[in-house]
Amino acid sequence: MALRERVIDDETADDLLGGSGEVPSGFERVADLLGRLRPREAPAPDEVVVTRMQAIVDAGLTSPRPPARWRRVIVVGAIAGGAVAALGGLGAAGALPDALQRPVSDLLGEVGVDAPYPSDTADEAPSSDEGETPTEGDAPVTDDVAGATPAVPAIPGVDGAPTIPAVPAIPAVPPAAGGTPSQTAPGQTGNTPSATAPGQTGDTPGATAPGQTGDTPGATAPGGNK
Amino acid sequence: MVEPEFDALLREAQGGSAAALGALYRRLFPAVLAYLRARDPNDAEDLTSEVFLNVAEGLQRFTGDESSFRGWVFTIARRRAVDAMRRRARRATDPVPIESLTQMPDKVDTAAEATARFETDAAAQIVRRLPERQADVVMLRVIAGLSVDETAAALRTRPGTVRVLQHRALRRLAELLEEDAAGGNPTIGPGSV
Repeated sequence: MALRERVIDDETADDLLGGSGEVPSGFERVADLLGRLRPREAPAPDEVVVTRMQAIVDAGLTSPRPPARWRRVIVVGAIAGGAVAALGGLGAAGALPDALQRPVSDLLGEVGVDAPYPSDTADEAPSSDEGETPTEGDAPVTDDVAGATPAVPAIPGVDGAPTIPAVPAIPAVPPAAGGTPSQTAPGQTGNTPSATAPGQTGDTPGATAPGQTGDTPGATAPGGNK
Repeated sequence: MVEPEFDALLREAQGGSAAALGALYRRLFPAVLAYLRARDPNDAEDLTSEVFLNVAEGLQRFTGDESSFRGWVFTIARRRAVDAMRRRARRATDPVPIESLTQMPDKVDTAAEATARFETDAAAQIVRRLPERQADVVMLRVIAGLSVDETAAALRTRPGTVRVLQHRALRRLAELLEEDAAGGNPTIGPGSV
């Protein structure tokens, strides 16, 4: 039979699918097939499933979970919070790559956290390496000690003076009293001139006796070096 | 079943009543099993259990009448069937547990039941030759006994779309059966199983 002749209306289609009413012409085989498709046996339900269903419903009643939508929000929020905390922590420690460190430092600065900039860390690193070879531009050279300790800042009490821990070994001045192997003259500063004023000795005032030098502040004591 | 009875049953089931849960389960179990068998006879029993456990998980959140409930249950059933087909497609082989072979004689008790089952399976095989959406409409309407609206709810589509699909499915089935008969292959009938 041609396809055009098999057009049926909604009601006839419903009857055919529901197994009721007269079978339209051209659909006899279809009606037979659909009749065989309908389940005739009534399988026994598995009662264990009911027990498990009850356990699931009871569990839901005793500990109601938030709806799926809120669970998703909670999970996403937790992940985002963890990422922010990790980024902030690394940023505050200055452990991020330069590209990240700068914006993170800006952001942390907005909330009052002082995080280092990439340039800060870049400036700090070489200073420790160059500590024993100060350059001329680092500090002014004072006239009174120019011959003995070049490039040693002699401006007492100036904040921000570069820390130059070692003075180049120039044996221009005889050793000072006390047997300390210092190469600084009496009345000169120790290894950290920024911390001492002219006339003082030692890196830590009070830790060394007058007239002594203090290369190793922790090792000196009143009475002389050991 | 009239609406108030279903509403009360649903409320009791949502409150954890074993009797109400059992009543809902027994009411829909045959249709769900038959639908899943028609879609894929391999894991139908296991999938049916899985469907009802999913129903229990979502029961607290369900609101609606009996028609909506049936549509919702068959939405879950269809999804589980699709998931099972995908899992099977990923597997290189389709292992059959030895226990299932030893249990087969118990499941098919009589020759009459076996014949009925084979006829149903043969008919389902022809329906599966339809495009998937058309086959789903036929299975849900004939095997599960859903109305047009319930079928639309189960397939997450409009009732008008279901009507179009069922028209096409019926015409296509008529063509398929005619072709089989013309080719000397009467797929449905006493001699075909």
